[in-house]
Amino acid sequence: MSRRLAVSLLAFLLVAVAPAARAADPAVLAAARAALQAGVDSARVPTLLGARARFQALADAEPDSVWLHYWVAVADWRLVPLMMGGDRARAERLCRDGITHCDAALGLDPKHAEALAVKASLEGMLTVFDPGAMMTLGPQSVADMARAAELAPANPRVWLLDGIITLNKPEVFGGGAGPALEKLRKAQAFFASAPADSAAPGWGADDAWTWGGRAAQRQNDLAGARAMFARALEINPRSLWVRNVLLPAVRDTAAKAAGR
Amino acid sequence: MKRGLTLVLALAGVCAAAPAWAIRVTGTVSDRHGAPIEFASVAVRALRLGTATDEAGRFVLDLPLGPAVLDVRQIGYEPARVAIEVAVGLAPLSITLAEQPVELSEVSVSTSSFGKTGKAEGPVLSRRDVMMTPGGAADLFQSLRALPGVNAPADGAAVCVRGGPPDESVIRLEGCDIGHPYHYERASGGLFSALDSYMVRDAFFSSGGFSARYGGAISGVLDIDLLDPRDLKTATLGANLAGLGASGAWPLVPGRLSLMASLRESFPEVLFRLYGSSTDYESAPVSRDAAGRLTWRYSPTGRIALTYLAAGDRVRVLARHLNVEDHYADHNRTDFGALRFEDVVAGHVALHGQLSGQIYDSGWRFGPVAATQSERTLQGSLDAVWAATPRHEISCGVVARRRDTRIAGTFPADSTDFAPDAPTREYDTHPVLVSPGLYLEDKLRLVGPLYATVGGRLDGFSTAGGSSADPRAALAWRVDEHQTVRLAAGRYHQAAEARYLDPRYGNPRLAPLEADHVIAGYEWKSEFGNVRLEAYHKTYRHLVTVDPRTWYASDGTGFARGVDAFVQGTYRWLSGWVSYGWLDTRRRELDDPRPLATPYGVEHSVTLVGLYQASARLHLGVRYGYGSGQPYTPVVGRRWDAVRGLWFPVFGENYSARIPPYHRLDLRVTRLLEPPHVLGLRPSSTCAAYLEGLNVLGIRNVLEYDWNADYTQRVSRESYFARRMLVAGFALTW
Repeated sequence: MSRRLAVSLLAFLLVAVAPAARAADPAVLAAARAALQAGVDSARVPTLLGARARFQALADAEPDSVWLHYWVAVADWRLVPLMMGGDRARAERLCRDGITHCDAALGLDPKHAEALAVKASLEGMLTVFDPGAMMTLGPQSVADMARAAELAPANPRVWLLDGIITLNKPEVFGGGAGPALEKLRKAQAFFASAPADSAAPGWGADDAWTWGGRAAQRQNDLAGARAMFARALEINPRSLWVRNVLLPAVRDTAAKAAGR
Repeated sequence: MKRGLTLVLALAGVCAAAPAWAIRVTGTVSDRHGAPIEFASVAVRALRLGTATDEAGRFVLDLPLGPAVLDVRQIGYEPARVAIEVAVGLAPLSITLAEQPVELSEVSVSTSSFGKTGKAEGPVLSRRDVMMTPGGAADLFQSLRALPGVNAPADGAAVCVRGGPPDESVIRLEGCDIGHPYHYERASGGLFSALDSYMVRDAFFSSGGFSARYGGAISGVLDIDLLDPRDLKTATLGANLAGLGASGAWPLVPGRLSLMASLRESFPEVLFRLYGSSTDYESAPVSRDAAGRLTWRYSPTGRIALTYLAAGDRVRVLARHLNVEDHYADHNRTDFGALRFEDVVAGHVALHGQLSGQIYDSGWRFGPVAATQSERTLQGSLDAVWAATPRHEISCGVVARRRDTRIAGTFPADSTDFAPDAPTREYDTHPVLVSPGLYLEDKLRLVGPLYATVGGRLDGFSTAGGSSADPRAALAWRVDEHQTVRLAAGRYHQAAEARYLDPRYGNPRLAPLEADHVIAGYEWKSEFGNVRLEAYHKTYRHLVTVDPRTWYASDGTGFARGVDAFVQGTYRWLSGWVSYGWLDTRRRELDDPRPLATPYGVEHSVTLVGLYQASARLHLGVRYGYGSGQPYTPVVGRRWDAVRGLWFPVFGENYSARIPPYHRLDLRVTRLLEPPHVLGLRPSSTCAAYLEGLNVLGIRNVLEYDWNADYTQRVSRESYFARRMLVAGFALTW
């Protein structure tokens, strides 16, 4: 009995221990995710680059992990807008690299809606570097986002990314604050109703309100923008962009409007 | 039980505590100048471990004793793979990453004399340049004319490289040779591409010194790959005063099966009615083409693509040749099909296999001439690329081609007598050429910033009964992040033109044409621009000469030498380029024993292109092209033939006169419009409307000279764009 118990326990422990030694360490992954979020909150490029490098290292070590490729792409998506005004060539490389990682993720799981949505966002960004490619990348981005929405119609991050693309897209191509706000409100609702899922990527709830506020701001709905920024801060009090830039700006504009 | 549990816990402790046994490996990642590279990733794939460097380029990894392979990468640097032996007392590692040259935007057409090395090499024209450049008609072959190395005379779109005729360059589509990919092929060797630029993903063009991968050409290579949209669902409808077209992509099974297709028809009658024509067409020329590509992705790395291209055109015109004016009728039809598969085997070897077939038929009538030409071509090839080590990439492949050509009809017995009642002779030639080949090539990093490509190929020629061996090599020294110096040399062979190989009217024992290329180049690249200078020398041997005993012989010789310069720049919303080519070439071939200039190249050619994005919706473009005069053989006198009752020309020295220089200025305005959201058009639909001014200076460029009936008056045959033309059009994508 004792021998059987010992063998069973040994088998259990070996199975339990072996994957931990081979698979990406959850603690390392969590640390990289935390670093990424810290970089987003502080809008610090070096922090984001550090987080991206961690994900890249993990993806290199475990190239058959869909999620690791996805996270590198998310890091690239976060970095590109911040670097666009400075090291433009590097920003373009990151943008292309992000698309490559999305393709790698989709090669492993063709129905990965979030990877498709991130890819669509990066394709949209790529047209900024090469406006002539708009005729091909534009429709590709729209097609990828449509497919993502078809695969995961209740995924809040897909709606969030779609909303951000729509906000940044010229009205002539179907973009603008109005259509963007509709999508971002859906993202907010899906985030609010999403069940707690530790396996989910777990980012974006505050972004949905931040970008919703940006869309409201574009519509000159200052009260709406202010309320949304405040909600974003409730969810993520560490967001310096919302705290130090967006919220004061909307307050200033409101004050000036009141003084007039 | 207690002892058993102790053992289990001890074993579990051993497993769980494995990292405690590991050796701490430290190191630094830096660039070639010793500067630390921060945020580089360092991974050990076998152990599924990874880390990143800190601000000082340092990293720490705990690895078990024994061998380990580190993969190191950072955006902007070439990845490195380092094999180490982890042992107690292992010294800190020092890993150097080489900078990658700055990549430019989306590549559509690139040139390089140094092999197919990808986006980072050679001058680059983006898709935007192809689509937006004035006068290019968004045509791939016309856009090539704006690059150095293509010293094509006049309006033609044929790929004439550094003085060589078009058949000395091989054009490949989806890895398979394609012949006659032009519309209106007899007009300056082809006026436009038979392939819609919408379908093209990228095109590699080399004007010399190209890799061992390419055989059957002694001058140049144009290698076109088609778009590979994954789940793209889009349609484009375009029209202008000279034609209309539709194209689209559909995901038949999302992620797995996709279809892309294009249909075009050109009918320039409206243009001729508006602006007149330099030629008297009996009916306006018409061309049509259709292309489709079905792609099946059967695995994450594997895909099979079936491509089909059909194209045709016809012309009926009142034309003049020498001193005869008569009806000229011409029709061409080509059908090309290719099956291509791509996959990665054993995780490291990329395989590409291609099978293709082409049927080409054409016919023409003028005066006493009535002839047909048909070609049946079959080709199969297999290519493999193996990244053997971080320093070596080995490529190899095999190919087999069979081309069956038949030219038959009635031709004038005297090549200067095209009168309708001229004496004629019947001609029926039917040569078949089978040419198998194989190649091997190694791209290697020699030492530091010195890179090399060394390879060779063997080809067999059934008709000539011979074979050829071509060694080829290229060397690149990456001076720094922006500058590269290159040298390339190689030997090239191709079979003589089919009509010279006919068993009855030709010489099937002709040796393959041979050329040696030597090229030296300098390139400077940054995110703002790209400068490339290239000097070349090409030596020809075994060119075809006329021989009284065997019809033809292989003892012709020649050379081409010159300089190409290309400067491309981008500043804010302004971009453009200047290309200049100087060419000096002489060939001793056919019936003249002296080395002569060729009509397939001009001595000086200049192209200036400027593109300005005035706003998100408004783009302006200008293009100016200049080419010094093309050589031609003048008529210096005349003689009366009492038997025929006709005047005949007395020619001067071959190619001893020159047509006046060619100038042309084109302008283009493109505006993006918001299409009405009706008929189910998606809000993301785009509409590009454009207005193009062709030859706005109204210069009547000359293509050739003809004469009146008694050879007392010379008549200029003018360019197809000899009049000022305004062309309006649009492209709607939804």
